[in-house]
Amino acid sequence: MLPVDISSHGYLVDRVIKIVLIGIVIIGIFSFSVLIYMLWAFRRTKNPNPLPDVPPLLKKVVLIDYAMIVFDILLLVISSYAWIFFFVRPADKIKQEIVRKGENYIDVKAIGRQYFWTFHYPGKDGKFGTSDDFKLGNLLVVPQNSNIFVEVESKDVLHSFFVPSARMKYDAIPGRKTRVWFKPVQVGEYEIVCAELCGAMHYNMKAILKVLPPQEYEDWLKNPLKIAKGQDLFDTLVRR
Amino acid sequence: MTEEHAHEQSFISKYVFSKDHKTIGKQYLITGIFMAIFGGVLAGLFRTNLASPGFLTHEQYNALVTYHGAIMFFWVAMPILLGGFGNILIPLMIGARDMAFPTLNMLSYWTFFVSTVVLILSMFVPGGGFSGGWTIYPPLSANPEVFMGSQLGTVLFLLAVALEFASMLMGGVNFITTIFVMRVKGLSFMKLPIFIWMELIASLLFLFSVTPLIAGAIMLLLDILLGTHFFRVEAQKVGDPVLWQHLFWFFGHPEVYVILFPALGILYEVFTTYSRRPVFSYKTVVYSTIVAGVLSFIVWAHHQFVAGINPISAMAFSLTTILISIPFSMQLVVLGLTIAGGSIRFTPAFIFGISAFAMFVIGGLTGLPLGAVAADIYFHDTYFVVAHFHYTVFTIAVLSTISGIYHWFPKMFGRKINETFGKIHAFLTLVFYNGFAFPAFFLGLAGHPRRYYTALELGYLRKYQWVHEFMTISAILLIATQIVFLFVFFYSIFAGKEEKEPNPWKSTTLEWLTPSPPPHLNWGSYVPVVENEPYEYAKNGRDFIPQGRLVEIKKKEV
Repeated sequence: MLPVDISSHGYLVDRVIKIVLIGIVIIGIFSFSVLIYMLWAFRRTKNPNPLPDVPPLLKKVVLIDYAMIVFDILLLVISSYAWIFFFVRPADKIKQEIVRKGENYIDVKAIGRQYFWTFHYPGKDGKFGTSDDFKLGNLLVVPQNSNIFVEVESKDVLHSFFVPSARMKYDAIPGRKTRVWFKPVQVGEYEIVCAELCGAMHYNMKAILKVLPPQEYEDWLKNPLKIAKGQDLFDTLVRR
Repeated sequence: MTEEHAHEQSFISKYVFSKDHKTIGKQYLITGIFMAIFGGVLAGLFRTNLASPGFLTHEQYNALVTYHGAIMFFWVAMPILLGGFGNILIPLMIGARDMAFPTLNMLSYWTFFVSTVVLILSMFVPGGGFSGGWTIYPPLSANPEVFMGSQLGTVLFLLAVALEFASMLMGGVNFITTIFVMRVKGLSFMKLPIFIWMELIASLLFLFSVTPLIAGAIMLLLDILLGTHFFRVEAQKVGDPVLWQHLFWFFGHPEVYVILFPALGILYEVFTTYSRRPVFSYKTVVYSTIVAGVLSFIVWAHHQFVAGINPISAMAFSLTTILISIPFSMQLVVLGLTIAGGSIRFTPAFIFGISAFAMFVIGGLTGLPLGAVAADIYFHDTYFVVAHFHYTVFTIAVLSTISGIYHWFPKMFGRKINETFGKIHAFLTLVFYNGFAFPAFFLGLAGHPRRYYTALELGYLRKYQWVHEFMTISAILLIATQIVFLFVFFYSIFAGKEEKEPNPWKSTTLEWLTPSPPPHLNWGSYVPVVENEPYEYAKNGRDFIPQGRLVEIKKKEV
């Protein structure tokens, strides 16, 4: 049921999801089996008088509490591992590492408004606030296998920057800038949606994440707005 | 009936502005049942829109979702489980003649009634009702004129919630005082029926947790009406919307247990009575409930893992959240093993009770993926959350509640509900409920965000439209079943078969000693004396030993 995963970290999230789901299904099936057995074995027609004590075998069901503790610890470990990898390291630190290693990265700002996203690019010089900056409406174009640093922000109410295919979600909060990081490894078009109730058209606040091969991305960067003009939804919204 | 001590009462003072805890309890119960049907119909309407988009406008859809959530929490679960069952049962179970503060009790109900009226009014004012979600997150709610176009609706909605809290606070103070000072002779704390423990802990949780939210609500009202900037963010004036989330969820998580504990309390009474076995481990229940209650104050930020809190503290909250599963797994094991070795009678009350238990196992277990912080990156604000809290809150507010209604109906009204109807009701409720709630887990796995007007706008969700259609049909059938129950409920109050036997289920606790329905001041010219533990079933070769017996007292002592 999970959508395709295009990020370098997504397997960690998926692994936690799979382990926890398998665990709760096992515990659940066990609990339901015991319950159904008890309802069947101790119905009045079969067992007209209650036993003076709980049968010894059933008393062992208490062990499920210990199983639960073990499962909780396991879950905490794998979940924290994924979380530390994904969120706890500040994006700035990840960036320093990446610069040191010489890997590719791009900076971009994702700004939420009722009911659209704008994505600000720093342009060729890699710095925001210069004349070659440009912005796209409801379209985020990124190169494959490059580290993407997204600064999420909102200009009005709460939004949430949710990319299901990248296992990525972070709230866009007015007055706060939060930088998140992900690395798409698969080319294609994926959906970006809003996951925090933001008003009447909340369900329609969607954007496209377009992952291009590095070379195509470079080509696109030479004249980005030409392609972005196709997004007429953005034009109408920005003018209001 | 021994009404000799009851002074003459007019219709108004007996049924309307009554100070009798049983009448007030019934008022709460019946108002809550009507609100449940109302909230259910709202759900039916917005679910219809999910199956065939365009049925409602966007604003209407969001407003209905908002009101459905708020009603089911504040106007159904709380009034029925605390106001209804709490008021009716606390004095009866502890052998008191009424609550500690009868006038405050009456005031509590009528404040609640006013809050209900204000809430319903707020839906129909110009600009429409509040449509910002039952969590009332600013800045959406802090500047409703601009962001939603429903200024008056929002203010009235907040006012209704505030009145409801005021009413529940009066009730809570009353419950705590009554349980502390009005227990009959011999009824020590460790002999209290578990339902009373649950009401006590729930009232304490509510009292301790609601204060920050009331402060927050005042700040929010100031933001809306006077343009302050506690939560609003405008150009240079920067408030902090996340502050509201902290205040809200510091209340919000204990609040879930405020309604959960009484529901569990009902299940303990029902399980012991119909399986003829004592509670598997009384002390475990009491202590684990207290531990869970204390822990509930330090888990709130698990609602905000991706909302801009420090990621390290997110890990700490993930730890406490997963920790809280331990007292609850202990509770559920004890509750489940209570029927082990019993002689189970499948009455409607028991079938509803056992369904509630089974569904709560699912609800509890599916809390783990949400508590594990890494999985919550994906699950946060998706249908997985919707499924999880319907498996917990629906269990609490509907299944356990109906179980309690079937169990105590003869005591409350002196009449019976038809058992065959009850069994069919239980079966249909369980089928239709799972039909609408279980598929939501799969929608959550597929990444379907909550509170979406339609899934058709998103490419990766379009193929799941049939799931929405299936869920909608199940939900509508579920609501229809409950509307039939509503009619049978009222028919049985006035025309059900009379129940002369004070203890039809052969239960142990004190409320079953007095006639059904109990006379004014509960015990007539008798007084209960507690001699035994609360659940003495299958002991010394006897089927059951009542917790106490009635002793006649001389007139002047009354």
